[in-house]
Amino acid sequence: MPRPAHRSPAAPRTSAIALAALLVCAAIAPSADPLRADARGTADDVAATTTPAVAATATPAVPARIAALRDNFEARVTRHVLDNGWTFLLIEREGAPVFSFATFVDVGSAQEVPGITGLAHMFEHMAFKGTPNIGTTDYAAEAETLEAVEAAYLAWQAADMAPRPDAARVAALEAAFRARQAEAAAFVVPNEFGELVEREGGVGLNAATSADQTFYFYSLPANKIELFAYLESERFLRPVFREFYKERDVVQEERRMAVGSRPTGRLLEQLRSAAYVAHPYGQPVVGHMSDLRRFTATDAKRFYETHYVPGNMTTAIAGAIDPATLIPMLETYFGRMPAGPKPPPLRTIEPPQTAETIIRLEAPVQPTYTEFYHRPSGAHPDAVVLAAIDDVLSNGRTGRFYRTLTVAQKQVAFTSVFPSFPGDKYPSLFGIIAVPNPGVTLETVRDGIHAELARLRDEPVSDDELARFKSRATATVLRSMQSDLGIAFRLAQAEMRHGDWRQSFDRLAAVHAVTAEDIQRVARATFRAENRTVGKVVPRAAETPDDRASTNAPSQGDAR
Amino acid sequence: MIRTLRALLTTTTAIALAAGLMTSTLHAQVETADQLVYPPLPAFTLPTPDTTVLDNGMTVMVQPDRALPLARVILIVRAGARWETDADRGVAGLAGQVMRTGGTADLSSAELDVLLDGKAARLEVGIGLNEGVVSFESLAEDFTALLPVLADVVRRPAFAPDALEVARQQTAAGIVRRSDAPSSVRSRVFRKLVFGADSAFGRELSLEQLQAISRDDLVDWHARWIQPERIILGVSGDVDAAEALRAVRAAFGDWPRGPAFEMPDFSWRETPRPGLFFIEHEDIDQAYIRIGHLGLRIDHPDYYATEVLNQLFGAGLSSRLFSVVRSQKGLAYSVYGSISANWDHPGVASLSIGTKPESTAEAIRALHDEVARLRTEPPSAEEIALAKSAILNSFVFSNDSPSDVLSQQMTFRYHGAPADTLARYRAGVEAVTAADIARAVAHFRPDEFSQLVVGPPEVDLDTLTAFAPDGAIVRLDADGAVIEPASPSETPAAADAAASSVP
Repeated sequence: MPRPAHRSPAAPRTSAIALAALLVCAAIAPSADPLRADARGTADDVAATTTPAVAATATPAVPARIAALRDNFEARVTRHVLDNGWTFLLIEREGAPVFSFATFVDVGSAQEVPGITGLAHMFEHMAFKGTPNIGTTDYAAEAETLEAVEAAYLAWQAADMAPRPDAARVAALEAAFRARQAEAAAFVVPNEFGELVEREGGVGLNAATSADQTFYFYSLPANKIELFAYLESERFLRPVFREFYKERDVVQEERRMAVGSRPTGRLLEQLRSAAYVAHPYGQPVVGHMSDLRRFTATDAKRFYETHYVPGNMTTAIAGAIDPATLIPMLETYFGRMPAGPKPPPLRTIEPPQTAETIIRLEAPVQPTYTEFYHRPSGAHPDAVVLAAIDDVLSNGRTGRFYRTLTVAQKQVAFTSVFPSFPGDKYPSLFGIIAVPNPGVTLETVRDGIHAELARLRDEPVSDDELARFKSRATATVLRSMQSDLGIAFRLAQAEMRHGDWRQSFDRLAAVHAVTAEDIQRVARATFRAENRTVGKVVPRAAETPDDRASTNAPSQGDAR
Repeated sequence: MIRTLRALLTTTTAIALAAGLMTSTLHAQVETADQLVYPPLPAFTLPTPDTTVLDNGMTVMVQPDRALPLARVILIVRAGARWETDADRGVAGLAGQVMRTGGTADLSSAELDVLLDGKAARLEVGIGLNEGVVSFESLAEDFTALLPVLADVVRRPAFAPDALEVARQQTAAGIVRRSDAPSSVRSRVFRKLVFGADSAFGRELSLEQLQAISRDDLVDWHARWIQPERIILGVSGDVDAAEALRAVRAAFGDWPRGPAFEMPDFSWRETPRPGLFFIEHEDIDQAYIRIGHLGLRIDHPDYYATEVLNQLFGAGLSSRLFSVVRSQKGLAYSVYGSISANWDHPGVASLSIGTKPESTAEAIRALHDEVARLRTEPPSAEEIALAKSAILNSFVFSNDSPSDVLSQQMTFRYHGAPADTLARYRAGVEAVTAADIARAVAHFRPDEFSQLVVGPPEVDLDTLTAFAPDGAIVRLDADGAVIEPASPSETPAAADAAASSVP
């Protein structure tokens, strides 16, 4: 289709966007994290993802422009909570007869324990497999075979994991499982859920799981609003775990791609596991391979029943909608979901780090340098100060890393900051990633970064830098409100995380209260050696970086 | 004009709301999706942008959108790396970078960055393979003040030597890293196999060529290629149409036309390069596979049929490839395929998959099987109807915002396509028949597939010989150079003999 795509050319921080793909696992294809990519994609969006909360004590005014925008939204947002606890935000927008929605579920890989890592993401995949009414030729018969599949699988696994497995019996049980699996497959109408969305003109159907949350989204023509209500209530009301073990194979391939085939993927998996000794942020979102080979549909069902309760779910719908007629429809469809207790909060708190940790990964690739520091969660008053530090260090071509390391010293090709890795619901990590120029050692890169961090500790930032941070943060909020889907994301996330969609705007009050002293104080508290986990990708070949650069030089006539 | 647009928006919203009312008269919920009854979608069209051609030949299109206090400019210029010759290889891309970072006649690099960042504005320049794009965004209140700065970057870049060195270093970092990721190796080498390693679409910049580029090269390139008559500039956002046009005229109107010159040729290879090519890549857990050959141009009579075929075959959640190869066989997370089309040169007809090393052969076989099945089990009337309705029902999204309409109209104009190209597309898709689909299927020619596997040493090559002509697998390095030529006659140079070119 002749759809033009005049996107902005790459800004210096595009490598951050590429790496951001490591943070979430998507159902269909790993498109960039929509929370980051939505505002056309480059520098400011990454910082904006942090969504820090407003400090309870300091409440200076929101900039007038944003206050006006919030008032404008005040008039067009309807918040409606069903009796079962499911929260809806309805945002009326003028324009084309279309709408987008995003459903946020307050569960991520941080809710997993050893043995079931990857299960939050696995359930997200299962939410595309249909219901008793979608995806089957005969549900009554299929349901019996699915029970048989699960019984056969559990029997096989029990035999296989016995202290002294009987090989012949294990093989027979596996064969029995495969046979049941084939019987069940005969009832499947493959991907009927997606087909229903696509047939009616739905676009952008996908979902993603991160450490903090799971979210589902797409856009439809406005006359298909009831299809949305039907499908999106149905998929969470009575999901059918058909093709579970085939889809588990698909997820294993996803892991092989996202982690197993990228040195930065392997590095960050090792790094987070080293940085977190207690908290589940140390676990990979996609899960460990041994768990992906063993967890069961029974495990997934239990996980779903615990976490997919209406009180844990927030849906924002933005576009050509009418709350007066939509709300009864939401009551009818989504009201079917029984209320359930909210799962208990996570108990574990990561203890303070007491020793610097260094991860060194050898790989047949060019070198990369990273370092990550523990920092408070997005709800902490200092989160907004860390957003300011991110901006001063790395935003645009006035950021200190670009000006000093790239332009003045010419040692680093690209630098990115991950202000809150791997999430921001719990205390997380402030990460720096640097790509050295050919021939520059990782020690030189490290020293350059450390000099910049020392400057932040030792000297107050300039008034100009502080002013740039504040005006860019304001513009970022404006830019994030350009599309139905962008608005749905921002408001749903703010509502789920902070209990009020207005935080999308009001957090700017805290942004504008940040002082140079705040930045110095937080930099001193954060950028300490014993609070640091370093990750290096080191070329495996024995040559020096200079040699590698020249030996790797491809030339025009290479393929001849 | 703006009042008209606002009135239109309000009216259509009212219609949409009325549609919503009709829907909600169904109080009872439906049990199955086929019980749903949809009201008609209200008609919705946005006006096309006002278009003005300045005396110097520059085209200006303006499309106001008052939803947020932001202003945007997109500028497309007919310049790109595909027109580079041996004498100026790599200059276009570097010139684009340094236009942005090297300051202007009035502002140093640092002053320019401080000015733009201080106003939270964005300005980027990218000269790509097929075209150059300058994009700009600011708060609406800064638009008039910053437009002359944008014009200076385009018209009077200073190309500061230090900025050239920074850009050279960054480009070098990219060159030495371009084989690090298997996905990057796969797409680079596949382009070389399909278009030719020396073609405009396959060739790559070497470090030696990069080092040889001088500031004078950038200055000369800019003087030759960046000219008003080669430019289409679009303004959208919270601007008054007449004021925006006045501002553009003030910033660009006194720019004289450039000297006429003959556009260099760009070329690609038409002859297919069938075979099974293997590139060993250590330390990866998957084999990255792509098979295919050249695709079509958009003006091909079968273009609309290939769009419908793509939908049912390899795009989306309900396509054959996704359902069979991923959902039923569990062979891959990422699997897709299509016959793609470009405006003025062929696209690529290809299928791609990533799978664990031990299922490499099974995955290639699965892709071939699905191509074959398009002939043995041709798409049913139901599949074709589903694919067409997916495209047609989602059509409302293809021009649902003023900035979408603007960038579409800019693209159509750039390629000399009529302003009603989208309407033609819709009519073209609606008219596709089963016979058209059969013709579209014939654009997959499996005998001509270049089959590229980028995989770890664990891939058992013996399992792949069945896919290689005469059982001979051709091993390539990460840049596509042959390591063990299967037979001396089968070199890319020989295959390059028959070439196409257009000016």
